[in-house]
This record gives sequence, structure tokens and C-alpha cells, in this order.
Amino acid sequence: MPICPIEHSFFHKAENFGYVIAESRAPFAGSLRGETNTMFNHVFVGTNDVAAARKFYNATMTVLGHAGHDMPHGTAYPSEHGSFVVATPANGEAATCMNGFTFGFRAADYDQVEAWHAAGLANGGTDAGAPGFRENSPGNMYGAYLRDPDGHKLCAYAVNTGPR
Amino acid sequence: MYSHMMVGSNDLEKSKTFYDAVFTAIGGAPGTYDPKGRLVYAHKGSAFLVTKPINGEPACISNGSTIGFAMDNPEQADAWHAAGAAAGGTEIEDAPGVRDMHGTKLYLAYLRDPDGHKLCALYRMD
Repeated sequence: MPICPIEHSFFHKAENFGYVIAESRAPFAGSLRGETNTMFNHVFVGTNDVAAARKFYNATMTVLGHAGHDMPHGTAYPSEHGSFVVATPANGEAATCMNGFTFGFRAADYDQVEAWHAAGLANGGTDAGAPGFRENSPGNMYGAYLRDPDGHKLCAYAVNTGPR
Repeated sequence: MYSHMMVGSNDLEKSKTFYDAVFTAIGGAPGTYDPKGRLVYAHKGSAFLVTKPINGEPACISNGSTIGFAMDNPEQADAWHAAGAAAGGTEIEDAPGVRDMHGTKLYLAYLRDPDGHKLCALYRMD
């Protein structure tokens, strides 16, 4: 299984991470001050193709209301409640997928879930689960799944507000 | 932004020891197993889950992935780090502390969980 050998990552050295901060000036990276109301500050995922990832995530994140900030080695999607970054790995090695990894975005409603899924399919993603109610989710939420161009599994969920 | 994160594990008991420690260190609760056998941590409106992969294959590490947890203050990041290191986590990157990122000060701590997934605890200082 691929193992990441690096312990001091290039990307996280101050001067390089600082580039990300400077380039995404809006409340960066969910750098949340004071008591937070969210569990996740940020998620970084690796990509082996910055342009393909940017196309996919610009399309899907726009549906959810998040705009991308281009960086040389990837794209950042900051927001007040957390941020998402997809970029080439800091250690210079290939991005690889974690078997078992899923990250889930909040969608406002069922229409957004469906639009997110369609945008992903139209922009380099592959289907990993059509939109529908998911019994395994708390409160039987409405969700859809995709794999991004690098193969990472992700989903978008909206709270159950009644029949579709 | 996020509804939840799910990571793969090859040993849920070791994962539980680690994640119970880090979540309780930051004021959260120990995890519980859901009917599907997945370990669930609910905290501040989102969920963090740990699962054996549903395709039956081993969990593996993703090169390039980091999951960042939001902290309320630097002391919480320190507590998160100490608890995790004592409960099966691996210390990586620099020790917990302030990073001055071109004028933005972040308090950061890093660990790898027992399966090797890279985690970060972050508090923005200014």
C-alpha cells in the first residue's frame, strides 16, 4: 500500500503555506478564530492533475456556493466555515487515494445535491451513487456520491425536508 | 462547508483508542459504533467517522490528504496533540506552535492517526 514517507512537508513549511494564505485572502482556510462552531477547519486532498481537479471542483463547488482561488499547485475554496484545497502533494510524490476515505459537503437542498452530482459528471468526475435518500445517514438525508478525477470519493448531502 | 468526513481503518479498536482520546481532549465525546459497525464522532454539528472500507479491501493512506480540525484556542491544540501522541498517534511535522504565515499567525499541531492518516489541529491567532 502506498505510504507517505515525508515527515516535514514542503507545503507546510511556513513560507510555502503562507503563499496559500496570501493568495486566498478571504477568511482563509476556515482559519476560525475564537470558539468555533464547526469541527473541520480544512481538508487537503492530493491531485496529479491540477487542471482536471480545478475543472471538476470549480464546477461542483460553485453549485454549493464556494468559489475557487487558483494557486500554482492547486486550487483553494475558502469559506467562513471551513476550506477545501486540492493540490499536488507537498512531498513531490504522486497523489494517491485512501481506501475508506469520503468527505461530505453540505448542500442547501435536494436541487443542489442533484446539480452538484450533474456538474461533477459533466466535468471529469465519475458516478459513485445517484442522488437519493440514504438510510445510513442520520435522519435519512438526501445525498449523492462522486469520484473526482483523481479517484477521491466525495458526497454532498441535504437535510431531509420531506419527499422529493 | 462539511457535513462529515470518513476515513478508512484496518483496526477500529486502535482507531477508537486514538480518536476517543483526541476528541475528549477538545471537549467532545468518545465515539460510538453505528448499526453498520462504523465509529462515529459527532462534534460541533458535523460527524467524523472511521470505518473498515466497504469494498472489503485494506484501508490505505492517501498521499496529499490532510484533515484539519478546528480548535477553540492554542491550549486545545496542545491537548489534542498530547492526547493523540499518547494514544497511538505518531508525531509529525514540527512540534505544536505558532506559524507565522506571511503575517497570518496560525497555531498548528500535526499527528498521524494509527492508520497513518495525516491530521492537523488549527487555531488562527489573529
